[in-house]
Amino acid sequence: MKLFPKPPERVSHAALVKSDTRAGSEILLRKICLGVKVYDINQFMLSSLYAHSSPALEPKRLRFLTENFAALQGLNYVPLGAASLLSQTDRIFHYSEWWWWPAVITVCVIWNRYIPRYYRQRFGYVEPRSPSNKQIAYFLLALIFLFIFRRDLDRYVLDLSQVIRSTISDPRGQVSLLPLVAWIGTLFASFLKPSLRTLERFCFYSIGIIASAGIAFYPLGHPRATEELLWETLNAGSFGFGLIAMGLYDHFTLVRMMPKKFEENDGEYGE
Amino acid sequence: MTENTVSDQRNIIPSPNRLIHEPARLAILTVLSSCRFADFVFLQRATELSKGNLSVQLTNLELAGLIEITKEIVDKKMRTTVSLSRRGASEIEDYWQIMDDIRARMVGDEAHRTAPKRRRVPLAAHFSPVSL
Repeated sequence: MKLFPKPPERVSHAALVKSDTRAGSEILLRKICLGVKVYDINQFMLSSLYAHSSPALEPKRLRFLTENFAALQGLNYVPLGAASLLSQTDRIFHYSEWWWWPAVITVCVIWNRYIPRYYRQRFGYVEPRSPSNKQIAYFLLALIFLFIFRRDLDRYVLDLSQVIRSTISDPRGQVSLLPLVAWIGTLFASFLKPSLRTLERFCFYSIGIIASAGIAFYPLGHPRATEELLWETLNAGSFGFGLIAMGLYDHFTLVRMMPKKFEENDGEYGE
Repeated sequence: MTENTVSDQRNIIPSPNRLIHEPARLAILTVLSSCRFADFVFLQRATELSKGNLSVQLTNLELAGLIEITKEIVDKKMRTTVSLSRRGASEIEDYWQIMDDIRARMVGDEAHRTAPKRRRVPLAAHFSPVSL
């Protein structure tokens, strides 16, 4: 019978040093191998870039372009903006012609026939991924929520708009709050998609919000502004101007991100 | 058993697929992994490759079974659409996984090297009087 447990084995100082050295050399070896591997990867990529004169690889730009290709075709929104502007002319100038609306509808139809073709020929075509089951479920839930609480929401929005209108002393509802709501909504919608969360886009939407808020709240400091033609034009047309500005911004983003570098044409559909 | 030879160590670190690890091909696969399919014109404009170069790279990828190419005639012109195959989708996913893994190892090593050293506590602090 053992009265005392076995004393721990004494590890000699030399053995400790040896094991430390071994562990250290292993770490060092791993670091060197990792460095060599990374150098190898980079060199292979660089040599391919020089050998085939390939453009610089930008995965972030490529993903952004591919995922948002349809949304970046901004010229599609421009006729809607123009129509919105035209619809306000009788409100501003108290004058309208019977043929304006048929003309606007004709222009919109022609525009919507040719602009998608222009985009397809100039920039090509991408079939986006079908939405995931999770996205479809969220969309359906939102629809059900809106349907069930539509009356409450309607009442709440009406109350809120009345509160805002009484705050800015606009009981007659002259100030158009729709552009401000649209800009804020677009900003929040852009937050939902990670690829759209860019500083440039945030700045653009912020400028839109500031501009539309400036127009909406200008009569607070200048009560007689509602009688001025300039303010009336800006107030009535700010939604249309906003749509046109958004469309042009998206279009020029697309043009900037997809420069045309090669002019050769061998009969491929699109060119 | 510990791995202490250079070849062992090199085997531990995963290597990216050389077929994918080429700027033009990687650009094409990145585009295709973000959509269902894209046509030739879009691929050319997005990747900024010449038609010849793009055709060669697409053929290489098709031969490797990473993409599927469909050709059809629209308005008397050839229209080429390209999509990622099932194998291509898993290969590109593996590629980014490996690159992330290597980056994580590098960052880990860097963080270990640059981490602030633990401040040595003065011996007297261990024997501070305790008030009862």
